[in-house]
Amino acid sequence: MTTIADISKDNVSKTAQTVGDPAWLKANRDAAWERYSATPYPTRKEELWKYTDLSRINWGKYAVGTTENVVLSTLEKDAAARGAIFCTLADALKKHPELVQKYLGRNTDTVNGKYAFENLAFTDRGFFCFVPKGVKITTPLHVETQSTQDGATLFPRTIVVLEEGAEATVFDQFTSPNAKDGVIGYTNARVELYVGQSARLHYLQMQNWHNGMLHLLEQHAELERDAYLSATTISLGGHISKSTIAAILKAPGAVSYLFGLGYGNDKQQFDHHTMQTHLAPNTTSDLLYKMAMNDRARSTYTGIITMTPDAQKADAYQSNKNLLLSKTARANTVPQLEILANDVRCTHGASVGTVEDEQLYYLESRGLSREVARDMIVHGFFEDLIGKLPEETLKNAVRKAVNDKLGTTIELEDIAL
Amino acid sequence: MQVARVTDIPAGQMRPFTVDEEPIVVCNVDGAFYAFQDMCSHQELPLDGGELCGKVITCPWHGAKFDVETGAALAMPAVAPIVTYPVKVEADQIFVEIP
Amino acid sequence: MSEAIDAMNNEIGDIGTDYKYGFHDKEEFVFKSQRGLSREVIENLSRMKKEPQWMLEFRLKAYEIYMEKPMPTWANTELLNEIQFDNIYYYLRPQDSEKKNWEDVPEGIRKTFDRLGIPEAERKFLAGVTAQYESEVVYHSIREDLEKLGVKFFSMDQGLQEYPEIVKKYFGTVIPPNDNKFAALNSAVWSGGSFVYVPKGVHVAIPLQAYFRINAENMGQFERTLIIADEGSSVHYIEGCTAPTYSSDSLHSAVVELIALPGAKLRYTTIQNWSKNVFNLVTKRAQAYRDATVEWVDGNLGSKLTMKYPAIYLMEPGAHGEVLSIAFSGKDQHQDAGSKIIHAAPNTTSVITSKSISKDNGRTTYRGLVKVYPNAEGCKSSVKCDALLLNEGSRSDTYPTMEIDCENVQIGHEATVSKVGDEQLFYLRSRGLSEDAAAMMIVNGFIEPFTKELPLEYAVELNRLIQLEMEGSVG
Repeated sequence: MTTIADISKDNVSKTAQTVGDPAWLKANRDAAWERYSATPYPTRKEELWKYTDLSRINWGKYAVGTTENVVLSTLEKDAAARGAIFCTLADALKKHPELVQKYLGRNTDTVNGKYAFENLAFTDRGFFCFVPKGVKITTPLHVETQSTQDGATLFPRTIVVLEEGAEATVFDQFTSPNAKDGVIGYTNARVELYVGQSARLHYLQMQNWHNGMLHLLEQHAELERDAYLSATTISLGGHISKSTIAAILKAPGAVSYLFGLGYGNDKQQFDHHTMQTHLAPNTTSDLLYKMAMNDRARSTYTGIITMTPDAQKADAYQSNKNLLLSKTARANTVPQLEILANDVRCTHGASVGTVEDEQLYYLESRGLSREVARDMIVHGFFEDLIGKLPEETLKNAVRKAVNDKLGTTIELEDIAL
Repeated sequence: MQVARVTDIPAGQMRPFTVDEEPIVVCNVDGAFYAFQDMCSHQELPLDGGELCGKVITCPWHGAKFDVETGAALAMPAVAPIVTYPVKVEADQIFVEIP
Repeated sequence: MSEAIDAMNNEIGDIGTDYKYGFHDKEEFVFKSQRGLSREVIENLSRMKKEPQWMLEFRLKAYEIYMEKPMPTWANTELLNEIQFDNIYYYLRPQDSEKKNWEDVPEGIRKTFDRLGIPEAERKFLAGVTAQYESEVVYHSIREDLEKLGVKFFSMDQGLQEYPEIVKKYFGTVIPPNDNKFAALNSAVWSGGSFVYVPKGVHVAIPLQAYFRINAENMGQFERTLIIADEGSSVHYIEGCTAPTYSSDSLHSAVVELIALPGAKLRYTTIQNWSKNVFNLVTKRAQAYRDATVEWVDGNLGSKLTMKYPAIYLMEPGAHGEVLSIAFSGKDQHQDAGSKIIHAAPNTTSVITSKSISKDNGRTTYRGLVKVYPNAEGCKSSVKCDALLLNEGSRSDTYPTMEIDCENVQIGHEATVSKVGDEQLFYLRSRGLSEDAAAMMIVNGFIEPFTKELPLEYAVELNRLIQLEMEGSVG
């Protein structure tokens, strides 16, 4: 059995074979493999890895070459007829290799270094969503990437492309249905979102993996003129979950919303890093990340708003709110601004607080147990964020996942506002 | 958890180990063995490159000092204790109990 | 309107060209070390100061640490790497001994302090003064009534000679030499600075002041200050700094340790106005014990690069810390400043207010930390940072860090970055103000939370300084 610890160039070829690579992709993988081999793992001395230490991870635990399900919903016939594509990455490579080539790895920006090269060298699953000019998909597209096997290794890649004026809602879910207790796994995912001129994309990324997963994700979005992106990241599973979420506003009029929600218990560690990068004037970005930590769980949020000298009259906002639910829960928050243009509006805020006793007393006085009262408060804490999702089905999917994680007796009808 | 032999760590010295993906240091103070998490309470940096003088370890990064037996912080910039673990020596084997 | 703002920015001018403390005097000294640092320089300096053996050992150990520690790899590394450590004079002794009367200070030096207004200020509103010129304190005095109450206010060197036990007990305990490269450097070659001890229950109602002046080119000034406010006492300490404008750089690297024992109240005010060729890399840290209060009031106007993050360790329940700062960055300046608050005990509280203004392509950075350790329940901390950018090429960065390891707390941070708004200017103009006067009014309003915390005389002086920078833009 080959593991991450003794992975070799052979595994690159094997992956390429399994996926059915065209020559260009195999070449990309080989190049990525060279960089992967030449790059050391990041250490805690690096700012982005200060709070997430993977230096003691025993990579020998994770076997490569895992096959598990990726389940896709069906694309509306009308949209398909007008040229929209929504299929697994392997299918897309067979049917639309030129189109995939145009986008896969088009953006190589990374702050994850070695891990980003690892994903590219070993990309083994994922999906491709392409919405041509002017096509609007009304039903949310749903992808469920599953992992339940012990010692599984996954290298998913998501590519979503919206051409000019296109619209879509994509729900990209990582989940472990009925996974046994005690299983472990490793996921290293890459998400690329290309939002064309005046296009509108709602993208919801939710991971509710089993708690043995080591989850790494790097998400990169590019916005063209007047593009609109709302990208939500929901982090519930895994023992270590580190996500890097970037929105690059490349042209005037682009608007980006980044939302994040995390609930941690036991000894879970969450690390979210966000980037709102304004490269053009009259761009707008907003961000809200809400984290609730229980038991010995720890949340780290680091995020940076960058206003380049060209970003005059840009507007940016960033807020991280943390709720600590136990004496041993922890939260780190590092919201950052780098402002190189003067005619901008830029505000950020962060807070760390706790459940107020008064809130609990009030709910208890209404006949709720302390545990249920506390869970209600957690739901309430998240509700404004969930409310920003575009579809009722998506809102309910998130509410249900949070409720399952809380493990309470609360009925979903009681929390939907 | 057995981590080392008594002879592996001479008096006045210490050695880092990884137990269950957890970094620890075991040190020998005049024949008595102590174990603690290899992480300074100040900035969570490793202590194993530091200086051991009696029961006091000085962090190599910013000069914080700790008692290796109790974990107590003895000097700025540390204000919180480090995590210590119970140690047992049986025959020539050193056992560290990590909860 | 934006033309008017550009004009205003030009008029606000840059601190360098209008710097009124940029004059320099002929170098007068009784001893000047060779350029560069070595064991010999340190041994020589310690011998001349007739120090106890333990201090020499402390220095030499710190020197080893200094040599081992790498330069910071964060902040403005480009500027940091410009420092030519081998070109610096690490010790320059301007006169034989400290004086208690201005008349006894060598004429040239006295004239300098006259021009800086120090003796006059002392007569008017200070309880005590130390004046440091190059490496040594040349003058110090304290009002007799305070001396009788047991207040000790000396140069650090004299403090070490007269109160070796107190010094040995506290020196280097708040900031150990390993803390960072520049703290190690200071620990190795420190000279001058203040030693203050305020006995239990004594309230020093009017401020003590230290004034630091660099005169020589390529000078390194490494003053060391230790202030101990004993139980239930209170004291306000003020420092001011200036230097001549030379074509090559000087280095100022101070270490300041404050200890507020239970119930004490300690305020430390700095108006840093070094000339634009001074690297100002200082380490300042306070400990506040049960129910004690420490306040840093920190104004950074001068220097080429300042890296300064006054810290308060709230050691015991009920301790309170406050940091209020302004940073003003003009052409070729980078103010990299901020504050650190460490909540190490329950029911401790802190407030940080930071204001920065960048003009003429200047750069300001706020870099801060709020840390709450486990078990420090009931802590409250609020941080507010505002930055004002006055021209297109200015830059402002905000890097706050909050590390919260305890549940029952309330921690908040807010920051905004903006420019002087066209609407504000338009409104003020409609009330009959010239554009320049309107802009200045906005800047004054912006920093008012800071100026109102200064003793009146300093507030007046600071307003004058800022007005000077904006001279010509008024009326």
